[in-house]
Amino acid sequence: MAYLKTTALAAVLAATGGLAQAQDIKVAMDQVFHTLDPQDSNYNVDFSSMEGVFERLISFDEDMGLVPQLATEWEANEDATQFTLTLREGVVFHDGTPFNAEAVKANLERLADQSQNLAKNSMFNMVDSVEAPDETTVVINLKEPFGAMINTLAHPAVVMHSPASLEEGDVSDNPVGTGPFRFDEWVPGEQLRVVANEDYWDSEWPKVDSVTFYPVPENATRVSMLLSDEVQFVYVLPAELAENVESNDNYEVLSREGLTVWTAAMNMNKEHFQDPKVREAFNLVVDQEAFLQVVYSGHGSVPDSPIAPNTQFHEAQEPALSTDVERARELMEEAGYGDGFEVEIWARNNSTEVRMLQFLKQQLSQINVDATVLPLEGATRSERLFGSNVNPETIEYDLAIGGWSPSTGDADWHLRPVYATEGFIPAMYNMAFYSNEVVDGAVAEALATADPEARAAAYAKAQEQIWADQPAIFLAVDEKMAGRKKGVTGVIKMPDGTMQYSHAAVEE
Amino acid sequence: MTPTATPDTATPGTATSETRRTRGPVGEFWRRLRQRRVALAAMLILLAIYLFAFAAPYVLPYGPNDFDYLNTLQGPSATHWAGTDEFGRDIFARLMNGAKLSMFIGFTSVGIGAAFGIVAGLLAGFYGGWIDSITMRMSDVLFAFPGVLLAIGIVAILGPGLSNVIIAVAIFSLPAFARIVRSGTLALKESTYVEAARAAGASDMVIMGRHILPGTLSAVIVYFTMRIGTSILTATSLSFLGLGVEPSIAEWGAMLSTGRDYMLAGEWHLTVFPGLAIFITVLCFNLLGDGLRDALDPKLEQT
Repeated sequence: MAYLKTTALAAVLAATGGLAQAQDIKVAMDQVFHTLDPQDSNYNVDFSSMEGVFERLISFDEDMGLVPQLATEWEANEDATQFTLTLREGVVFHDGTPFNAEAVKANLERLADQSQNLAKNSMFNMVDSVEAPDETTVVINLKEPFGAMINTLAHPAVVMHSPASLEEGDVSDNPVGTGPFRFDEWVPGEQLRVVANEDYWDSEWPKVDSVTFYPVPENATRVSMLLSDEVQFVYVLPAELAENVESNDNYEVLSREGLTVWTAAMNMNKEHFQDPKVREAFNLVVDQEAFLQVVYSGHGSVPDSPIAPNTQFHEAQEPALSTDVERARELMEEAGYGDGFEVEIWARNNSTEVRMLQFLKQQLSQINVDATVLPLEGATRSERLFGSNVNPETIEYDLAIGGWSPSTGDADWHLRPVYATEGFIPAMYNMAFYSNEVVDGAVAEALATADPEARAAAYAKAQEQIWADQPAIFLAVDEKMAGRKKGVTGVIKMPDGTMQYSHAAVEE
Repeated sequence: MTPTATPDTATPGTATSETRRTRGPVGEFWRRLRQRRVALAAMLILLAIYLFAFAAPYVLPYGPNDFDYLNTLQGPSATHWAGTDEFGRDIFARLMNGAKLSMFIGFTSVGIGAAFGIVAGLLAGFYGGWIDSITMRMSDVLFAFPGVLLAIGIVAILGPGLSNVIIAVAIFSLPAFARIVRSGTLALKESTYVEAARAAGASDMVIMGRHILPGTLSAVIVYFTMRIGTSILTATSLSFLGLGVEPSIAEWGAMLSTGRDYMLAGEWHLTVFPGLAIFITVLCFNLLGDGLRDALDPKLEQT
């Protein structure tokens, strides 16, 4: 009886404590924030931190399935050139501006406006016009068919800004959205804080008072912060430290097979990579299983296609990747490079990519290829790859390490930016300068229809061709891992690598 | 200076005042140094480290860049004395390679810095006037930056890499040598024997080179030794920050930097051994420098 009393008392105390005490969720992120305007960012940290502040027309559930957010219904015409969306009613922005068709029009026109030079402009260059026939209906007219439109609208960058804030000017440090959290303060390099939006349209949310993000680039520090309860969530848990979190009963590891395919793109503007034998040799000499072990402590899988298994329209390709150093040497000999050549490899300077560099350097030495590795600081790398003065003809790298994950969940946003001719850097992400008519044709064909079967057939063709041509060394599909304190729910890791926290809650 | 040539190294501290008078400056220096046992021990440890480092490739069964993906992250054992890293490379072999590299970086960078610094200091002290002003104001500017920050700045301009690290550390050692030599020169150029040399018609070059420079050398030697410790520390810091040598090269700072990811995972040997190597080496160079200072300072009478 005494026991029961005390537990009952404890429960009451806990409940009242929960009410009286502000619920704050603290998150350690792996990078500093670049901007608070997701429409102008290429970085998962920026999408993740703003996920609760902004909403999109259409969003993803945990398995990258499409779910309504600010749009409740959507439909496409037959040739995928016109999309009509019905909007949610009774939504207001944090600054009091009503959310309506005009607001959507303002945002989509901003994204499609080339003169704005937004990072995500390339995703919307096929938009011809946006109409707002009434308060709750938006019609998007395209210049050409674009079957991946709905998935594109669900990309975490395609957020709805308050039109009033857009008119005021700079939204890169003053985000005004419709989400369950409103922006509070950002001290660059230190912290970013969002607080509960009491006027959120869905009265069930938010369930916590605030969420604070701390950029902590140092892997071990981030994990230590979780294990000492300084934070409740670690965004990007390094694979080598997953065991530390897992072995502790108070914390859990969230792990998802990701959409990111890691590759070392072979710069085909360099003479030696124009020879398919050389490209084949480079893939044969690299041991992907060992790569997974060394770089990701075994967390992840060997790619079986240019796109990840969880990406829509993925088709496993034959033959599977294999390692055969002898055959690789023969191929190099046949190509006239028996004595190898020198290459320069670029990557970011974080410890994971530095491990990739060291691994590749060692593997390539087996075919007498002498690699100079260049770990670049993130912003420097972006500038040198995607800066406005990049000249594809003279760019220095031979191999560029990169991971691409299509945050639309759709094959288009992987195959087109990374492997189609229009994707050449600096415009998009084709760092191999791979250009193939079959691939370009198939990508265009798939976009010309909204019919899933026709799109699947076209993307299968593109994947097959890329797999045969091997414009990159295919390295790994990583696992997206995060660490979380038990009892925290709703803060989740998505397969594209971003996180969501709109539905954050703390169980007592 | 060939200290090992002295016959009575095994019995330090036995010199009497009678034998002292018969010694030359080198013998006198050696007698004083032998009394500083800590410095002597530091020197022996350094000698041992570097002897082993140079012998390592012929003695150890593993090279610093032998990958073994079947034996990654092994703790210290009889086969791998300091364990293996995430690529299965033998950490002890890498440490030995790091020792060679650190010595190379230390001596060349401080050597370059000393060479330029000595010339600048001599000219500034001897001629005075605008040469002095320019040289000293420039070194004031360099002194205004904290050491590592200056090195980072230089690497940021030149780009990472072994040779640029050496240049960075050299530049950051230069002003201190210039100051030391300048102050020595200022004192010595007024001395009677320099006056005498000048009266005898010796050229400026001869006066600076033969009469002033040797008088400043003892301070330079002391500073040189201590500076090597600092320079190794700076170079490893740069590599730790990813601004130094290419990450695949077995260098202490780079090893520490890649190993720290595994520290929390219980793989202590990846960081502890390179850390110890840096610690011991830098400490030994500083202790040796202290001992040298005491031994070379004519004003300090031994007790």
